[in-house]
Amino acid sequence: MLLLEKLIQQAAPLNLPVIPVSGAAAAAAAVSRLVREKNPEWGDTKSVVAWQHPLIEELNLPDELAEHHIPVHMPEATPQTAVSISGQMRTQVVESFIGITAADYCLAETATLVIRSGPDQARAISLVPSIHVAVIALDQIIADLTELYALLKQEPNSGPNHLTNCMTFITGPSKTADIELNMVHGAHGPRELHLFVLIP
Amino acid sequence: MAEIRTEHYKSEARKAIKDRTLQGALADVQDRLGKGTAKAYRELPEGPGLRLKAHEIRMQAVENLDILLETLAENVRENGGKVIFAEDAAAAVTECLEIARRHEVRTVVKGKSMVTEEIGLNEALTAAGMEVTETDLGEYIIQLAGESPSHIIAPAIHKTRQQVGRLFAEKLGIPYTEDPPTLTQAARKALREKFLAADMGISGCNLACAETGHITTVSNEGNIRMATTLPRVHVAFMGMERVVARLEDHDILFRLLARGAAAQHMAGYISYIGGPRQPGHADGPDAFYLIIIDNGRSRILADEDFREMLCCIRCAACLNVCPVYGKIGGHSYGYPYSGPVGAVVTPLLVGIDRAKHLFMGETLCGACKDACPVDIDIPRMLLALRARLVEGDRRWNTPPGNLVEKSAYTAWSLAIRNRSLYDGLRWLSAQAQQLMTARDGMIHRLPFPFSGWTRSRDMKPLARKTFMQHWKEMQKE
Ligand code: SF4
Repeated sequence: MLLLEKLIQQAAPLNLPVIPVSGAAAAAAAVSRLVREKNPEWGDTKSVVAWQHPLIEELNLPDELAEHHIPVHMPEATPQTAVSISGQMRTQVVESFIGITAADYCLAETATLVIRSGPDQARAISLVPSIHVAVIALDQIIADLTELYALLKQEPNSGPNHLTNCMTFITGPSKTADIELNMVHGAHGPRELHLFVLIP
Repeated sequence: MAEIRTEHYKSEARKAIKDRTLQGALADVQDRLGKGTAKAYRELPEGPGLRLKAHEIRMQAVENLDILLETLAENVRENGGKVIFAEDAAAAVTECLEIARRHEVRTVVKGKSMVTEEIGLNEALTAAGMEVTETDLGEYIIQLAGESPSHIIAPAIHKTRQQVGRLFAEKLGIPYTEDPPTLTQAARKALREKFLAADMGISGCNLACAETGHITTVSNEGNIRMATTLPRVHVAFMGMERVVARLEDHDILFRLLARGAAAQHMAGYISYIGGPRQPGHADGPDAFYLIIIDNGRSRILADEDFREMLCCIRCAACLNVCPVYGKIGGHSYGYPYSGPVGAVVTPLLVGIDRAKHLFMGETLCGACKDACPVDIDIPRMLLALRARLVEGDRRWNTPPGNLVEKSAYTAWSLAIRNRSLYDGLRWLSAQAQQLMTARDGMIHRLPFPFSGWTRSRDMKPLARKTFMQHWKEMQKE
């Protein structure tokens, strides 16, 4: 809990809301409310794209949002496709205004999410949609980079390449200060990032 | 190769000093980022001394570069990537063109990378018929304006919001506005199309990790993630010094990089990229190439005086505190690297003699060393460069310097070692300067060859009586 408090405190100045929720049902309700309240940036229709991941599947979002007619895509990897991102998935990612992912770790010290690529863990889902929603469990919060690097080296079943070919640290929403040093959120990546922490 | 305009340092600097808008922008950058960084160092739990540790880590990597680069290449290959060593700019560019041809690339999106500026990559790709789009907002602005970056981290810092507004109105066809969020949104929209359509993404590399075989890219905007995730092909360029041995070496370095570059605790996005999309993974490029560039770095490595410069992580903290950069701006330095880092790196890359104004122009005040996250002793190297310029050095194709200056100093050294000669000369100049002293008691103009001294400042004449004369009189009393 100490780490969670630290995380919330560090996230505040980054424009990164950290929302603790107890249990999957409460989390589902909170995410669903967010999806209903926010408006799409590029079109009029709402759709959501999410990882196939136990933490997210537990929320049962497709059912939760069906009554509001908001489709939830959970694309599967297609190893046989020759292009970098399969056509169907690409369309889903580009058209969705919210992308929902889990994360491997979250560093309390800097409010940083650590996300590795994987079979059902598309990199584009935390990047291309206008709003990124991340769902993590309380015990995924660790102290800082020092702890992260130590853990990465010790993970038992991570194989020789424990980083995978893409590991990304995300600290807050996308931002730029390139015009007269004015801070603006939403340069190329998500304009908003919401972090839900599942408390058992 | 990037165009080398280091010879125009003086005239460019003079222009820059008169440019009111630029002066305002530079003052703003230094006031905000320079001070912010100093504060961020002070607030480090380990204190500003952490920079010494970072220096050690970087220096160790530089001293073991051969082994680290081999390990890195081996591991990237194991991850499924291809690694190419390029001896100079031309070789690096040719390799990239060849990759583009092989993958039938027509459109390219780029993340900000200084080393690709150094090798002049954009011009080559464009000449080969490709459409190249810079995607960092600042780089995008200057690409649209047809200019070159004036700051390593904030490339368009010399442009006002009004200028950007007019530029976007003209080039993107949006209604004129000078509201930064609206302008950013316009660029976001235009560039999103480019990202989604691009065949190839190009990035630099902040600090590779040898033991795991990954490069890292750092940004706040997310543009580099876009450029390295969506296109079919990813080509990363890295100066050969940008590697560390172990994963945990990144711990201190990333924390300091964020503080040095933008007074942040952590950059918005850091990605470790080790190769193309792994089999079975959801997305990522089909092909990954890492081009490791020497382009003069081996020569720097071989020279013990300058080896330390290879520790540099191009964070731009030194620009944000340099009193010279703060007045003359980035363009005066005539090469992609500006400020204190440019004053050392550029001469080492393009020629000590050719870029001599850059290191002669710095003040040796030492602010850069205190701001540097890896504690590089830039003032020491500025002096070493000056020494090389005077003494000449065959390894650097530098002939011995100005003979007139040298004989003047030899004469001076003779004169101050001979009491009566010295006194005589002093008496003579005291007489001569009486003629030159204006009514306000200052000398406004010295005759040639000393006239340069008084071009921009007044000089106080020598005191009527010397210290020795005073001393003798006091002894008598
Ligand atoms: S010399 Fe130091 S402060 Fe300057 S860019 Fe390099 S690392 Fe940063």
